[in-house]
Order: sequence, then structure tokens, then C-alpha cells
Amino acid sequence: MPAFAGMPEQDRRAVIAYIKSLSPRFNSEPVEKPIPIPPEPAMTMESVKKGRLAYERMGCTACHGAAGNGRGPVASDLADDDGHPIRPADLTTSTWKGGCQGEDLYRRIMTGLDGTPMPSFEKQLLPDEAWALVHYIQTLDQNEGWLH
Amino acid sequence: MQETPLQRRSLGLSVMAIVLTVSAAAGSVRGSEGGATLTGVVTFKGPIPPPQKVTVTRDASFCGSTVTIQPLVAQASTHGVRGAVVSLAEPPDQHVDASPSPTVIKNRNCSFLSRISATRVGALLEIGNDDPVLHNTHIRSEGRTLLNVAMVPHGPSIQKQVKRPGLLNVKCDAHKFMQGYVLAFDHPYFAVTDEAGRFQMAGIPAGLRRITVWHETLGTIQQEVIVPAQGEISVHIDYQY
Repeated sequence: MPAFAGMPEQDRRAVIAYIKSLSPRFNSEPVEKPIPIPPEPAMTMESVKKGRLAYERMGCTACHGAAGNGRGPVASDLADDDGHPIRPADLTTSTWKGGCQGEDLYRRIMTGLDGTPMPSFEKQLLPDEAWALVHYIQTLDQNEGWLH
Repeated sequence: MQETPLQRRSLGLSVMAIVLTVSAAAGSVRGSEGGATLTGVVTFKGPIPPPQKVTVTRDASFCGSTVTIQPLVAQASTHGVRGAVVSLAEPPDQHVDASPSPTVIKNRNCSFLSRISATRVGALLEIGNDDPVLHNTHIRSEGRTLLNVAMVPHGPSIQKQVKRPGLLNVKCDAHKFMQGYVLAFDHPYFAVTDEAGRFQMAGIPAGLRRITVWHETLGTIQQEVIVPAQGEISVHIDYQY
């Protein structure tokens, strides 16, 4: 799915209106409230260490692996809602569905990703813990040269 | 849901696929307001597939190196089938609309408790984790994710309201052998059979009623029963083999 940032807004809204005509669910199902995303605190060694602990405590290693490369012990067994094999995101590359900014990561951790095995951690993480986890994941990006 | 070989065999039998035994002796009928009580038993006399042993690839130190899966359980002496969901196929439009109680699904000993549940639309599903390992409770309906939440060890319960009727498939992506089902109804006329295959539904309105029975491996069958205005009526529903 490429980006269509260059599409004029009028065309973009027209495409959205057309897509909404393809399923009655757009009318019949209520729109959920977006999750609140609090302002990001500063990234510090403390927040990264806290995030590392959260990464382990939340069981992220099972799918994403201890090194964050998407090769956790259950990674090869995962399937999407259609039953097709699906790999967990490689967190060392910063190229992820839904965007690679801090807010995008925060949102993904808290909402999960419907259609995939990625669950929501909204009820398990406090906002500051979730931001700490974001900071830790950002250090896994080997391209940025962060120190571990 | 795909048919199993056992389901295809059951459904391929004669049109009258269910043996119905109705007992409503005048002397033993108990009067009760608001319809009759339907009691019964669901049975299966065919061969029970042997249990499956599955290798555990995660958290084996807690879940065990293998787990045994046996979806079809029938009592040896009575052939009563555990975990079949019985319901009225065409419930009356008017029925008592009490607030439905929550349906609890626990992740316990690397399995779902209860494996089979039935609930009302509008009820809350309360999902908890009693295990010292991470589970994620992933609930789908017609192949589409309705809920997928991480359940950390002894963490807080999650609540989710059931919004529409249907079959909910409950899985854990971290432990793929875990399986549960929740059948949601938009009426109160349903029950889950116990260890002996028995069930009871109260307040059934009089008249010709069609009963649906669902089981995760035996499939779905239906049978009509004439329900009196009051009292108790019992039925014997057999998955013929």
C-alpha cells in the first residue's frame, strides 16, 4: 500500500466516500472513540530501561524476539484472521504498518492490530509505561545507531 | 466453521436425525407461570475420537510439555454429551428482558474456563488470567477479530460487551492449542449441557417449538417439540451415528 500524500484533498475525500459505500458496516457500526495519547515524555536512559523491563514483562519476546527482530519462539506459528501465516514486525528496522513515529508506536501498542495476532495492551500498561516501551523499541532500530 | 468428518456423517443420515422422547404425564406436570420448563439430555452413541496430544512450544514449564485435547466428551454410561449448546431456533418476540449476567472466561492452566459458554447480546464478557504466564485472548466472529487483548500474569480482567448474536471463536495466539467458544443469543432461551449431557430451559412459551443443538465437533441439529402451556417437558436429543 503506497502513500497517496500527493492526492488533492477533494479527491481523497471522494475516495473515502466511495470506500464507505462498499460495506454497510460503515453505517451500522458505531465509531469507537480514538484512544487518548498523552504527550510523549523525554527519552532518557531511565525510560529506555523501564521500557526494556516492560518489553519482557508484557511477553513481547514471544513474537518479536529478545532482539526485536521478529523471530520470537512463536513467530512461525502465527496466522492472521484469514488463516494465512503472518510474521511479527521486525522492530529493528523502523518500517512498520501504521507509521514509525513515537505516537504511531504508542497507538499500535495500546490498540493492537485487528486482523493480526498483535493484541491490545491498553489495560495492562499505564501511559508512562507504554511510552517507556516506545522508547525502548526505538533503540532497537539498528539504522539509528542507538546504543543498547 | 468447517465441517469435521464426524459432522458430515451425522448430517448425512436420515431426515429424522433425532430421536425424540417426550414425556409429559398429566400427573407429574408441575405448574409454573410464564411458560413450561424444558429439560433434556443430548446423547451420542458413536465412537469418540481419541484425545489428541499436542506439543507445547511456549511456557512448557507451566503448561506442560504436551497437552491433551478432547473436544468431544460423552459420559460412558449414559452417552450424554458435555458442552452442547441447546437453544430455541425461533424465540418468541416477547420475552423477559432481565439484564444479562456477565460471562466469565478465565485463562487457567493454559486452557479456557469454560471451554463452552452461552450468553446474551448485551452481556459483558469478563476475561481474566489466573496463570503466571502471558496469554492473549483473541476472539473472532466469522473470521473477523472482535477482541484481541494481552492478558499478563494475574493482571486486571478485561470486559467487553457482546454486541451481536453468533458464534465467537476464542483463541490464544501465544498458545495455539487453547480453544474456547461462546455462543451469543439475542434471547434468553439457551443452555449448555453438563457432564451428563443434561440441560434445562425455563419459561418456554407453549406451542410447536424448534430446538437447535450445536456442538463443536458433532455440528448442528434441530428437532421440533410441542411445549405445553405450563409444567415440565423432557426431551432426548440424539446425534445419530
